[in-house]
Amino acid sequence: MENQTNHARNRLLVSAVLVAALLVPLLLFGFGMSQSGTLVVAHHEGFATLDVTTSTRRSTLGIARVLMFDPLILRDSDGSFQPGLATAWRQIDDLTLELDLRQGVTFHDGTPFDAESVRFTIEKLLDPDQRTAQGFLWEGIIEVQIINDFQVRIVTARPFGPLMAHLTLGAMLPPNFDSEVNTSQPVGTGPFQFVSWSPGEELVVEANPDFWGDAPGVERVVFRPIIEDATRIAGVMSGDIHIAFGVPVQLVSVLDATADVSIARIQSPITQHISLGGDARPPVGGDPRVLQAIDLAIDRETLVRDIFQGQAEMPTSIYSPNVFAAHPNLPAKVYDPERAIELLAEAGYPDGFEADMWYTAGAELQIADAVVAISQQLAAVGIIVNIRVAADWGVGGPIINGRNFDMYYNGWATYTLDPDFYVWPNFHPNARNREGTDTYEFGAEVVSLVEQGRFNTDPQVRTDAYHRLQEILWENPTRLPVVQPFDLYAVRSEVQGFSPRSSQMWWDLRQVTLGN
Amino acid sequence: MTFVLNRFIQMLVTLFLMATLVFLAIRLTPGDPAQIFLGDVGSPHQYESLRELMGLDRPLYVQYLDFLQGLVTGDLGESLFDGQPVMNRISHRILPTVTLALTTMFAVVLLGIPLGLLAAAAPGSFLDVVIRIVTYSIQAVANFWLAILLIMFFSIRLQWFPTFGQGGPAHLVLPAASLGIPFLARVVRFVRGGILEVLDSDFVRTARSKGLSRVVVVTKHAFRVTLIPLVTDLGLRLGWLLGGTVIIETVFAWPGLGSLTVDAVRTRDYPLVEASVLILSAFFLVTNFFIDLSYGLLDPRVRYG
Amino acid sequence: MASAERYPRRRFSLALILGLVGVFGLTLMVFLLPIVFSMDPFKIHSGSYLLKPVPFEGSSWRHLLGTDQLGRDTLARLMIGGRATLIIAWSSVLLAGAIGVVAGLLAGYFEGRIDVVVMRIAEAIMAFPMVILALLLVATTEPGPASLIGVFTFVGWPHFAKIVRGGTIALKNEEYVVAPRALGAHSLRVIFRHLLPNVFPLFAVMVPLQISTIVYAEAGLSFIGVGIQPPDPSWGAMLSDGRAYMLVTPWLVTWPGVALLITVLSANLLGDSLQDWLNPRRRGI
Repeated sequence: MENQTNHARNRLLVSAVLVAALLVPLLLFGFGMSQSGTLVVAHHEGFATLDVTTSTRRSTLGIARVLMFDPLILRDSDGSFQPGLATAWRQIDDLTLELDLRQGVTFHDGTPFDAESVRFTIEKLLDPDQRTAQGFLWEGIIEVQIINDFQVRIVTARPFGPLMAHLTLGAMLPPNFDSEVNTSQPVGTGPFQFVSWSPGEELVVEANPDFWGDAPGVERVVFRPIIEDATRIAGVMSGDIHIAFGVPVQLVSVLDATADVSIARIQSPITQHISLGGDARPPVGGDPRVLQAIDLAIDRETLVRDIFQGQAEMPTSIYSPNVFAAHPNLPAKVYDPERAIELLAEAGYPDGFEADMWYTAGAELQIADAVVAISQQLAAVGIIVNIRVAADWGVGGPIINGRNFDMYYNGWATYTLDPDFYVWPNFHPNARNREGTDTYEFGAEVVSLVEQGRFNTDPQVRTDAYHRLQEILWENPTRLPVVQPFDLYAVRSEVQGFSPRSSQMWWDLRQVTLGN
Repeated sequence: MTFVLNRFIQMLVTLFLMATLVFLAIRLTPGDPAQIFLGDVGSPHQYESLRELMGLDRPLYVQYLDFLQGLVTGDLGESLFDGQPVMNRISHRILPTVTLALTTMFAVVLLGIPLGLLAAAAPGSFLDVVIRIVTYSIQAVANFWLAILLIMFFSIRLQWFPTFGQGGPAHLVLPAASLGIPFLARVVRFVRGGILEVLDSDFVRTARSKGLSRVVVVTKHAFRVTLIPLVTDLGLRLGWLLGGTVIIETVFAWPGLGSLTVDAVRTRDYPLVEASVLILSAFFLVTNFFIDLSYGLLDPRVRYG
Repeated sequence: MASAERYPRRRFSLALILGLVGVFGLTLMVFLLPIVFSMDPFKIHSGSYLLKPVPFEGSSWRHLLGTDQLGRDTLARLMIGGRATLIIAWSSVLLAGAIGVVAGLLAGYFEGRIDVVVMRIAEAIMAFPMVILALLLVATTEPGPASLIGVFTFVGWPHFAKIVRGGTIALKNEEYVVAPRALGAHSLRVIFRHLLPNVFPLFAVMVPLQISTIVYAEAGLSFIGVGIQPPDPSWGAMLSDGRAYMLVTPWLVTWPGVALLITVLSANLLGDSLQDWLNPRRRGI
């Protein structure tokens, strides 16, 4: 008898424990519902900082800035200039741009926006103590004159062609801006205002009720940097994410065939190219014939077809066709491995050579795959490529500024859609964010064309200069453009009103709404 | 009390040695951290200024004293990326990792003990053989592979659980399951093995011969004896669990210390690597210290000397 | 009931046989198959990416297990990746074993100061969660097979040292150790001639278990991108890359996962059954 009671009691205990254990996850599951009106966006790049005055990373400038700040001038989806915090502008003379400012705008903390804020912002951006990767955008400006509270003049030392385009990247700051606070809790005038930020986890913003334009269609945006492609895409498939940047090309057809997900696609201002270190050792860095041989040995058509699965275009120039003054009819890049072998032999490397090719992990999609494919194509002409992976930090890091590497495969986005954004830092010896560029030899003509493009306000003069520059760099390359990839977004069907922009710097969530 | 004090001092000594090891690992391994950080493409000027920034230009003992002083005052250095104190980034990453590790541990214990007892019910039976084979195999499953499979079925196909991140408790289910299932298999085996071992021992034979039922013997005697080795094993396995969180947090974009450590290693942010490795390891060490102390609660024969 | 069960004879169990076949079969396979069938894990087969394995729709006999997102042969990558994994695991375990055995013998035989120093270092290393210490060390070196071997040797030797030290202390008062010492034999001679052969089984049992630990850890590190670097294949990296494509072909994450499971499982089987064989009183698998 006693045995049986014990037995029963014991069974009861065991089952109670089991039931409790099974209930725990179920209970937990019940709490997991997400809020409506919250748009979840995922990107493949994390924020290092929210400081929009120093970074050129697309996460900071393209997301934090676009959500929470406004520039003086915006770009429409077709690329034309639109009023931002400036409602009108006129070029008074070659050196002076006059802007009328929008009235009645306030920052998220209540500070009114006015001429003082414009002057403060530009002076801050020009401050030489500010170690900013954006320096080259603003260095043409010498002064901001305040005409009255809502009218300013921006004065440049020399005529400065790309000024309007560059202004689209400049986030207007409140005069009480505090660097310490603003790197983690930005205050702007933008459509969304800051709620919280956990680096590496999420940035949360909510609709700004006092926004000067149309009120945003969603209450909240949660932005999540998710570096792992698989996790990000799985999140879109399962409905945890509404919009994901960066879709691996092999998944485009699968996602397109998925009922609730569609792919939004647009030509990006990115060119993926092979650049050389300024101190690149011979053979790569010495003889121009070697570089030509590498150029001829790359089978771009195969790359576009196999690696990018058609989600990219053959390069039409050193920069992408949607950038200002892109050359319309340069000859297509030729794939000629035999000629490459001949050139290598002429240059004194009949048996080829070994060289390093670097890339930054996670910086661009498909980049690792492209490097693997290129290394095989180069092996076919005798160039043995050692693939080297750099730590995850992109453009502006020491790697691109450092000089003693052989080859570096990366993407350069001409975010302002003005060629100056690309050619100045890459081909002008005085570029401010470059270290000791004296060993670069671009040739006097290249340097002078880069300057002509920058220091002219006449669009025709600029166009001619940039066309000539593209012709020279096409024939005698110092960097090898490889492909121009598309930007691909995976978008859930409940998201309405999302349209990708030609530059990730102007993508826009104001019109986006969440339906069912 | 002497026992507690002794163990505490022992723990501090180990902690000190671990910190020393972390310090030396960064500085004495064949690679030069500044060089590796720059990916051997930085200019000599960058190299020098980075060495200065990292304090590598000073004599080793000065660096060491500085490091120890930092540890005591809670100042673990600044990130090489944003110059912010690493503690700022670490502090809000601790709780998610502790939550994940402890939830997993809790669920595993809660399920593992009853299942282990059940598995010990009929040694040698067909069911027992199946349980032994299955648990033995599951033990060997890589948790990151399991994570992929779980995401594939439960997030994408069935859409039951979210795929990533931290939010409601539902977010906890898949990461905890990935970490917990191989661990659960081990605990079931451990409990089963322990119970059978004890059942075979003389004092249990005596108890049985006195006419006590098998159930009473198992619950009253055998289980208590099994508990201490089990708790010890759980404590040691916490290290394995924390190692697992490093990878599992990356898969699920779980904003804990583990994924932070991986980010730091990928970007070679050495001060952040040092600090997060130390904190994860200290957590392991301190937990085991408390487990040692808990023996007295589990077994009245252990007295704090 | 069980005097026979309490002292069973040493015998070759099924587990031991399975473990032996698994470990040595896998090793032979990853080293021989690629040579026999001249597999190229790097070749990009244009136009045949993400193929499913035979006999599924769209598969090809040229790619028995299918291809990855670049059109590289999965079987070839599995074999060459396994080769790297096994080379790293075996070399680091043997190196760690050699260091650990010597350290353990010296510490156990001389005790005193050597013992304190060696064992304190060993304990400090073992006090870390293993993967986390490995991660720390990997961060300080250029990633690649050589540094992985170094890292795993460093984290592995204390396990050998600890167990060999224990064995040495237990054995050093046995007659066959005491006698030659009394006859004036040199300490080192005593250690290596008389003690080593007797602690060797302790080492042998640890080897397969350490192998399985390291295979697992290497895969984990490669999975998060700090282990074996692309384009070299490894199981961990294959799992990580394949994740993005699991919706197209779940096979890409199946093969390396199964390969890992079989490797770890057979190493565990070998280790556990060796332990049973040496210590018949232990309860079987």
